[in-house]
Amino acid sequence: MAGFPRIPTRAAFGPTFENVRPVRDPRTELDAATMNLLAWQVAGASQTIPLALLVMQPAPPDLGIGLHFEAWATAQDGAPPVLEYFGVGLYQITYPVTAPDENGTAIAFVPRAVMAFMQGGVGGLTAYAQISAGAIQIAVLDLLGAAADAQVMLVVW
Amino acid sequence: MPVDIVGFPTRVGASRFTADGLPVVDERLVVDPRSEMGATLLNLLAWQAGGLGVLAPLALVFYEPGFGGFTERLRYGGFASNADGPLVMVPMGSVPWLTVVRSGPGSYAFTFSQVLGMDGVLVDLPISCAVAYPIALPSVPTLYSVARVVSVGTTVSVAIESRPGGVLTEHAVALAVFGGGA
Repeated sequence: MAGFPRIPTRAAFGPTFENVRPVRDPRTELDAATMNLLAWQVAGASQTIPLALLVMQPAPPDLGIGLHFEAWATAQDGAPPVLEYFGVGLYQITYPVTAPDENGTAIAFVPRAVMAFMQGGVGGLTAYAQISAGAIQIAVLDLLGAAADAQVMLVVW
Repeated sequence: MPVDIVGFPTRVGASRFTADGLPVVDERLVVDPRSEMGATLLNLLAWQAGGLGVLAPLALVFYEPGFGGFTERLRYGGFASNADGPLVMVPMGSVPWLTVVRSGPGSYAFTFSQVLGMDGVLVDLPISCAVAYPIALPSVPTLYSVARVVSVGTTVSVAIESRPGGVLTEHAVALAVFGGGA
């Protein structure tokens, strides 16, 4: 199968569907055109939406991941990634190297790109993120480049 | 039957998945939910697909400029209207509906031409807003910088500025464009 954490194409949803007979009652019968539209839209959105996001709390003793969502954890039952504190304003997020698909099969997951955004806090801070050896490194810096602890939202593709 | 069925890049709300914009109903009770799809489930699928369609970016591009010995390339190109899936690690110039022009350090212009719609017809990408973000990739040195969307339209211009300093700086960038209406 081809579901998250993979990115399904339209082909993953089957062929272009056709009606075996004309639709008599569109309120109670599923038109092939509707199925084709559903497949197109879901495949299309899958190409561009993030695979995961989280909001992390900034510093000990409150250091932690407050919110986390993963596209493959549709029951919102996914384990949070690992958050490490490397010092003031410097964090590392590591997702499991595999994630379950719709059948529960472990599929390799490697972040392709990340974005970090400030969530509240004082003005003048900017969050930065990069991928290094599969892990996501986050830095929060002020206008002069000095590190500072702050709450950050991370978006992962 | 839904009329004027067109999917991405045109936004499609949940009501477009039914004939009259109203939820579908069961003709009879579902006897076996493992082998029959009830109206409730189909309405949920339509609702979720509609919601995804409203908020999903129309296109997502990871671009690496050519500098310092690195080869300019499109690392990822996900188009909501591209039924064949994302484009991964392709050289620039090979994507017919995207052109990137680097006018100087940290100054990039992304021009989106028409894309193939659901019915195979070329249509405009209705871009109305965009977000850009500097991304560090394995082949690109890490720099602290911020991205700014300078202008939005068929061409989306992006500037990458260093922090501190505010100097235009080369950097890989992620660009997501939004727009359109259901």
